[in-house]
Amino acid sequence: MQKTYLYNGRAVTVDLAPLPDGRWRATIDGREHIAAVQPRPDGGVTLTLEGERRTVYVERAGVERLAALDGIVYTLSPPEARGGRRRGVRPGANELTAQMPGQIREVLVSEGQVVARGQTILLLEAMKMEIRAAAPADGVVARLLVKVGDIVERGQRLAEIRPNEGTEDDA
Amino acid sequence: MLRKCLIANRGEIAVRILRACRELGVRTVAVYSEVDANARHVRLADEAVAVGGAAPSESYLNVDRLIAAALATGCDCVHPGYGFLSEVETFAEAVIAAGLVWIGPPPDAIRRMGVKTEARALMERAGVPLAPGFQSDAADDAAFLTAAGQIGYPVMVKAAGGGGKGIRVVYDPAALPESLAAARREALHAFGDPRVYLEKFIERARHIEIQVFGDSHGNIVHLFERECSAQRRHQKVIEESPSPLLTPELRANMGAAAVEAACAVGYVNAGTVEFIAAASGEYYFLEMNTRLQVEHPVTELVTGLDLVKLQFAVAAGEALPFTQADLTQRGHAIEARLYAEDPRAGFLPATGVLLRFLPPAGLGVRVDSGVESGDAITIHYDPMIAKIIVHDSTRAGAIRRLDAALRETTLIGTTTNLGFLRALVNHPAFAAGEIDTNFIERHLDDLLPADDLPLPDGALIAVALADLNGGQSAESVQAANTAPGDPWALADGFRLGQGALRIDR
Repeated sequence: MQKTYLYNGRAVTVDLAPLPDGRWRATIDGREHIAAVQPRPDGGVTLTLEGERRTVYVERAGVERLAALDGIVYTLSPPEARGGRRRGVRPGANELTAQMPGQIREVLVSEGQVVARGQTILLLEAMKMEIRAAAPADGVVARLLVKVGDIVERGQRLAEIRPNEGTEDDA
Repeated sequence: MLRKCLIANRGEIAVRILRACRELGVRTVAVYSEVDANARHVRLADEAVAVGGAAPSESYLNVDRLIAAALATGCDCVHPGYGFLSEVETFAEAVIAAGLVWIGPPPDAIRRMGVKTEARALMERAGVPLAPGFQSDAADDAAFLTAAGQIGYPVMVKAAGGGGKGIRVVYDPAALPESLAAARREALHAFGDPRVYLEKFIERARHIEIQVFGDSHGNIVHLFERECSAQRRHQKVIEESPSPLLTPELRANMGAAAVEAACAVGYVNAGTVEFIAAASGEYYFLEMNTRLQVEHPVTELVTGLDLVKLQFAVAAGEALPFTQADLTQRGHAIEARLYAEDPRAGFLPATGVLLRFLPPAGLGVRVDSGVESGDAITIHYDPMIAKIIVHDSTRAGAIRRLDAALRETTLIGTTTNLGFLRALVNHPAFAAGEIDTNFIERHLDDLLPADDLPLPDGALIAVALADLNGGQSAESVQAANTAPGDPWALADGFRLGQGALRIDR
């Protein structure tokens, strides 16, 4: 049985085959492991690979698979969901996204308003922090997608700015 | 004796106080905002009262509602925890005016230590060492310039209103007028008070604080120091006791100075006197926190005392059951604050439901937390998930124990600073005890977790095995493989009473 995931934007594949003694043969990138699998009542699983034991906890969050091992959480996504969390990918110059989850504190512009690059569009607040979401380019506020009091996720689109000619791709 | 306590707080500190109450036989009343109705501190309390909306101003800072809740439930005392209303003297006064016992210092001590310029003047009279500085309500920029020249650059411009807000470091006289103007603007905005003052800026400063405790019979002792130099933008990350910087003489001097500071305001209950220390061993009064601190467990582990239970005893009018001579520091304790935040995205706070939180355990490992698996970290409150505190006989042993405890911590469901904490405790400068308050900022590149950690084969195998079974644990995968035909081994998601329904989170 073959399983493929995306990890940090790269495809990773494991080939699993059951063995008659209850163990599994797992092949990853040409590396072959014989894995003894010891499930734990709390949902974790203890794997013994080449005599070394590792307890891994796996949880699902939507399409993502989160595996915790030795204090580190690894995020795997299905191969079809390219990019997963889009870490490091810059949003388009014409959209403004939330840098952190939070609540919209103040909206300082209205649709149709002309704004300058760097101008504060709205204030986002979470916990004790307030951050400004600023216009990514000179342009016009084409759409405001949130209002005061809305709770937004990290990466959620907040506004669309239609950039002036020639400034669209300067990021 | 106190019988029933309203805990005017949430999260881990509310849980900490609840536990002390259980041991004392004091009944507990939790308060909660509308988003905290199922929070851990509510689940653990004997009774709970809704006090308003998610915004702290509507709930945990709502004095009228909190007092009404205490009276309606027949409480005889109120514990404020830290943060929220703990250092608001009008709340302390309102509690006392309602005929309830305030588990904290006298309101007058809170007020006098709250205005930083007044506290400085008070400390000067009490003979507590102060960083060279200058304050005058009337002075114009020319007087500040003259004073800054006498103090010697760099100087800090600070707001009289307090806190870390608006602090500016000035290296050059030419930049001083502009910094004064900006600091006044910010202070006016934040505290409604534009007054600022100057203080010498200590380079490579260490943050060392002394825990003090007073009773209503005039006894005041100190419970030694905590060093909190591992900070990021005035936010403490790791705290420890003893401080690797202090010699026994310095410790005794600073302890005596802290007791002087507390005596000067007639202090009762738990408080902390914060000092800035230079590597040379000079130290200066910074401020006094008139409440229980986040990092109090470090002191509890090295002194063997329960500070929260002591707070109740002192508030009930009992005398401290020990004198200064009875107190010793035993071994070494370190606390790390586990936060829901993303170190690689400028430490911006993160949120999420804790799908699985398995705190570490074992000899000398203590975890104080306000959440369990299934609880949420929301945008409304502080993103601290837990305090992981370790104790061992030596500092080196405590560092190894903390590293092992962090490695053992399983937390799935939000981004955390776990990797950052491990990098920090494993840094050679930390092992050498050479952390100053700017260390994290200077060495951030060494401390941020790698962007692209290799995926361990074990993690990939575990995920694939779980998926083979449609997201169930690997348990039935193995059973299916070993015992064909066994109905218990069917990997169809069957659960008693549930049919074959599976819910994806």
